[in-house]
Amino acid sequence: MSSAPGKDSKATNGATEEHKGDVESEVKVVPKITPEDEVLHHLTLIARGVTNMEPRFVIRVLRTLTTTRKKTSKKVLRTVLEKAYPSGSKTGQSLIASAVFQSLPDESAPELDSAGADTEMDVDAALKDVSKTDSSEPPKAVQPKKFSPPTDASGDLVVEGTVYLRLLLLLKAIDAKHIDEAQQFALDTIELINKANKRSLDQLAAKAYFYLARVYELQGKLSDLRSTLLAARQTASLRKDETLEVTVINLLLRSYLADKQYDQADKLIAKSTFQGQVNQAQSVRWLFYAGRLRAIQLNYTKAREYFQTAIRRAPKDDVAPGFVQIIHKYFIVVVLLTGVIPERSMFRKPVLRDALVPYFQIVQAVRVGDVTAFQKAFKEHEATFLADSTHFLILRLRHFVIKTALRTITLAYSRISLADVCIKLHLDSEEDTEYIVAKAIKDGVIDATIDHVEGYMQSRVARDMYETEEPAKQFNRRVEHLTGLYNETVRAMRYPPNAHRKELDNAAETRERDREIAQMIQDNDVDDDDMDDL
Amino acid sequence: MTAALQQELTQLHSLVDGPPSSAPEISQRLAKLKVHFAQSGLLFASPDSDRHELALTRSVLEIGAFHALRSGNIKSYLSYDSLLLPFYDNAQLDASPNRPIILGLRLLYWLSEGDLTAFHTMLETLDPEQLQDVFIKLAVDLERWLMEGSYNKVYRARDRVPRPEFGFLLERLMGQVRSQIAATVETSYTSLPLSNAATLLFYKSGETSQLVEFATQRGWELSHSTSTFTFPLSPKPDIAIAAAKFSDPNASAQTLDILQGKGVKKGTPMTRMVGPSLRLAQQLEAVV
Repeated sequence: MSSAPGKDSKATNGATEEHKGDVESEVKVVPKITPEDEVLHHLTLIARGVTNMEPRFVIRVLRTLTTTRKKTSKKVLRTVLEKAYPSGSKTGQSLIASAVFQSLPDESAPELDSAGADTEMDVDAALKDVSKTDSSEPPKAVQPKKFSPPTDASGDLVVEGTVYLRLLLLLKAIDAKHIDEAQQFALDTIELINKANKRSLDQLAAKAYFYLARVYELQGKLSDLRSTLLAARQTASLRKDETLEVTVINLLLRSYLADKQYDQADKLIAKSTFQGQVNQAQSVRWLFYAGRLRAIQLNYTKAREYFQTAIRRAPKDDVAPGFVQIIHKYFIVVVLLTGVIPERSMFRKPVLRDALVPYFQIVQAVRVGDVTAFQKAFKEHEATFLADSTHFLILRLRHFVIKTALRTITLAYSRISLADVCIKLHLDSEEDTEYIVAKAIKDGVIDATIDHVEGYMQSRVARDMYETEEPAKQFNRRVEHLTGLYNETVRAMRYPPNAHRKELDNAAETRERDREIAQMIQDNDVDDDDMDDL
Repeated sequence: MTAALQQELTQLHSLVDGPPSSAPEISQRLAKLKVHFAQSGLLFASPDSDRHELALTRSVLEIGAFHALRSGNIKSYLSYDSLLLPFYDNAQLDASPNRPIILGLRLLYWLSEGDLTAFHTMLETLDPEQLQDVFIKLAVDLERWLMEGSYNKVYRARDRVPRPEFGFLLERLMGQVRSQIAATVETSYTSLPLSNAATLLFYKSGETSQLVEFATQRGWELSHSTSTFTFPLSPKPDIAIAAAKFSDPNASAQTLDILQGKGVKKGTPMTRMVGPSLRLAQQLEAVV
């Protein structure tokens, strides 16, 4: 899953992108837990989340979904399904009997790629360990034998648990490429969620929709799902279910952009408010899609801002290499379009080095201002750009190349005839040169004047930087950044309920203490006075 | 019915190819046909219509779009163009040979409007193969020249219009180009002789009066003794420009251009100083 760089892995990073690199500590620190126990433990956590009405637990479980996905196999799932449901529960039996579960491949080939194989081996070792040290050393954190399924009023497993197990099954079905079964199963899951209509399901619902869309995309008919998604968005928005809303919006954006329906995507963005803080993975996606759209609409400053934030918030390089690469590609082009040359260090990162080679050549050409080199690099890598759909954006760069070339000329010569400029830039005619130079002056690329009669261009002598507006601009930019940071920090703070009450108790105590101290001081004063008297 | 339509279409074709005097008759026929299409539901390309009839309707609408442009009726062109969209999206129909022409015209229309966002958004939706087409390539090239500043090439493109419909839009584009050139001239020259200004702005030798009129509109000063233009600095601070933008939403791009002139020299720079300072003050207030 993490092996193929470039475009190929973009398709798969729908999954890898999910967990944001912070692998749950209990998985790493306590390796002696069987996958079965882990899933059962997750169920307990989910149930706790439901009873405490605290979505945090569910989020925690979902964050490890990808790791869990790699570890579980048919055998594991069978054990879990048998244990998770109280004896005699119909739901569990029906899940085991379901086509999705039955069609899963057996133990032999659960995961073929290296990452999967690694975890597989760990798991095997762990299994042996547990069987050896069965009773002598009780495993931490969970009590596998004493697992009692969290049940609802009717004596069945809580619906949240069922949805979670169904999600796992769905993921395994996708892994096993049983797409058609997975589709029906996903639709059933969504229906189950809608029927239960519980707010504690929100996080799980978002995931369910996500993988439903993934299944449709694998079938190449994501656009068929649009009406369902739009309906889901409306409901989510009405219920203030932000996680689901942002997920569904992202799915819609993805489908619109894939079908090149930019107007629709633009309207969707304009009509929806961005829920940045709800879910890291989804907000990065949103930033990426919105950035792409803005770049197409020539709003490069905004696009650059979006991509920059997306890069900062993106998962670690090794978790979702494809996604990181594609954001960087867009970022580089957009930065170039705003007239800035991206930093060299960006191209040296190990994940990006190979993938960014075509873009590096383009950047080189723009930096030097060499139109021929630009054309050559573009021709050579046209297929790559087409695959990344940065093709048109790069075409727009062409006139920037000419402008940078002009800038180097004005730096080198204080006065140069237009004919010479024409030759240096490989332009077709002198009249065009005059227009091009004039336009560059108007766009603020170079600081010069043209003398038409004599036919030369005279550059103005470089002034003191502090006479220009540059310092003020820099200052404003920094102020904006800092205030933005402050505001976001304030917004990110958590206020647990009833926390202020503790403070009130403390306040009473403090007041008491104050009074005591005042009393003591008074006593002391008296003593001191006495001493003085003596 | 199909046969009748077919006949109408051939007649229209012959009229279009015929002398320009037949223009009113074409308009009449088109109007009649449009009513007929609306009544039979063909106008909106309803999916259950007959394929053959749809194709015929499409051809008629294409003729309508071309005709509208030839007679210089932008509004009618736009309505035909939007009517054509569902026909092109209809997967049942075979691709129309006129599709690239219509696309190229649309792109050129966006250019002549100066709406680069729409232009590029539309361009992104095209396939790379479509870009090789002569009509689309023309629009794409024009945009590139405009961005580079090779206005001369744009001017010369008028001499080799691939179809008469493009001529009208190119004329429209030239107006756009002229004001762009004027704006660049204002910033990059200190003074400019009258004759040179005429060549730069593509006025022919006999059109001096038009040039002078254009120049006075933009506020250039013509000194009669040397017959050179000088470009005054904008007397207005940019706060006035911003205010003009707000108070008068109909302020044309040109008036704003003139207001902006050669950059702000007087007054308080609104966008660069006052705005950010006010924002900072607001933020600080929120913090305290």
